[in-house]
Amino acid sequence: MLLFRQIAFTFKLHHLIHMIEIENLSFAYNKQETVIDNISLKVAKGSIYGFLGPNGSGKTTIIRLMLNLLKHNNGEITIDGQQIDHNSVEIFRKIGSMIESPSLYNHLSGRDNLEIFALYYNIGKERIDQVLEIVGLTDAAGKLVKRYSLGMKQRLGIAICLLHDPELLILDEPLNGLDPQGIAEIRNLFLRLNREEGKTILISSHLLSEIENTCTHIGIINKGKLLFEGKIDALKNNFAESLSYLLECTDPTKATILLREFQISCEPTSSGSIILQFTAKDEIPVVLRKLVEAGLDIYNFQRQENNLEELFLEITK
Amino acid sequence: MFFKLLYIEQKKTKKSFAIWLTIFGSMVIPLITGIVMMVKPENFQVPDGINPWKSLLFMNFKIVSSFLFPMYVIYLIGLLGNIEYKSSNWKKLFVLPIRKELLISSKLVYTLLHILFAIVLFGINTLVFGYLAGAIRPQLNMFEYMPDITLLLWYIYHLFLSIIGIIGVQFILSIFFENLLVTLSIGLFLMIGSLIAAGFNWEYIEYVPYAAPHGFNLVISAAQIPWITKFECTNLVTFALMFVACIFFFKRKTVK
Repeated sequence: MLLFRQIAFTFKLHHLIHMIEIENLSFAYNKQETVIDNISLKVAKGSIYGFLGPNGSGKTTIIRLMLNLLKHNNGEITIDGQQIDHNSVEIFRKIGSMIESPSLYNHLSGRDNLEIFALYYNIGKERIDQVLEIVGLTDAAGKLVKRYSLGMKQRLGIAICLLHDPELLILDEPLNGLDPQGIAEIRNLFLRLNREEGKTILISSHLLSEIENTCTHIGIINKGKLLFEGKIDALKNNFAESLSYLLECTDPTKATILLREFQISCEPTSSGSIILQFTAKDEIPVVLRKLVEAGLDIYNFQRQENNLEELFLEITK
Repeated sequence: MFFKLLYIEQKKTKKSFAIWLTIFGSMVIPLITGIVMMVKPENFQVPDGINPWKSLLFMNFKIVSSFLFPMYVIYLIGLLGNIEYKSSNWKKLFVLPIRKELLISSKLVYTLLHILFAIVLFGINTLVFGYLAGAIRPQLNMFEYMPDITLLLWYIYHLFLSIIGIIGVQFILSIFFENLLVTLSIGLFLMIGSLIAAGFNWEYIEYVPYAAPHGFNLVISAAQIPWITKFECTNLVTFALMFVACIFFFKRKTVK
């Protein structure tokens, strides 16, 4: 794989590696307000890319630009090696997309909606049954969409995206309105589509736990700027060399007094353990030795992992 | 592909308010005149030897063309546009592997066909309710004569031509303003303005597409029904210009 990548870069065959490439993208609705500020990002083929950012950060705008729904001011957007503003019709055959809420005809049934889009894509009716089964809507297919719950509408929106078996799925907040079971099912569906069918998936979300559990790669955006792009592990390593530890010992009160004497920041918890914050790794063995010498027995001492939620808040604050 | 797009448009209107409006709307005037003929047959007396169907067709088409039909067209186009706007469906349609000009022309052609269907349905309902009235009131002589189908076809043809300019303008308005109420209000304003201008015998009224009732009235009141009038030519030119403008603007339309 590494050799393949090197060859691809040497011969400028980036599209063999990257499904989406965005270079120096800028966009503004008017001269005063820049919404997207010189963003470059790459989505590898076969990856699940989590596009993360607080509300109003520019995620949906970038997705609209990717899909040529908005015209960008500067920069270049390439999907599977083709520029979106030159070959949009050809590229759209490869993309299944859902932006914000699903686009549905509420006065028609779920099956009618799928039949309409199957006609657009020139797809047979047997595929409709397949996608209904994939998203778990077979029993509700004949029901009018206006009687669907928000979660069912999301599922139907995803089913429409899957109809033409696209190589790339671009889904803006696809888990909105789903209950925990529904979230788990759709998350498993994404993983299955990615692993078994090799689909590249871009999911934008503010549900950080979903990004953490589903995505292989992540891009964090805030105020129109890309703050981080890479694998989730790299994010944790780059931003969070955590020196926060949890301590459980025989006498937490005595331990707290001692730790404060050693000028170690500590915070007792309601469960009787203590959270310690070291400033350097060298402090750890010294402090532990002194606690033992003071007659305290240590039951548990473990590093506190930073989760993505904390990292996200730290990066975007 | 184009015929498939037309079929898709028809499928979208299934069970929609637009289709019910067309079906029931086309019944209203024939039903009312039918009831009046049944209740007061003496008010519908035609001289002996004159085909009563000619009078019935003239009466129904004159009533419907005066204000109701142009208003139906304005409302229908708003409703058809609203099918896409209501759930922000344009953002989905714009990412289909189909050229935008094909998408919008199929919508416009479907709108034309839908309105033509409404006129034909109105004609059929006129015949149905005419026969019903004749069955209940034999003195109306509806079964003594055959309906004048040639006259009916002339009326359908001219009513369609008289309205085609409004179709073009309202269609482009429904693309610009993603709001049913705005397109309705503009249409109503232009309609009333044109009728007032026609009432004052404005010399350039033949160049105003929204003066459709006036234009149609001139045709059906003529001693000999013409093939085409100057007013209808204005309508055809207006429609052609709107069609081109529609494609031009639609290709540049973005979804914010």
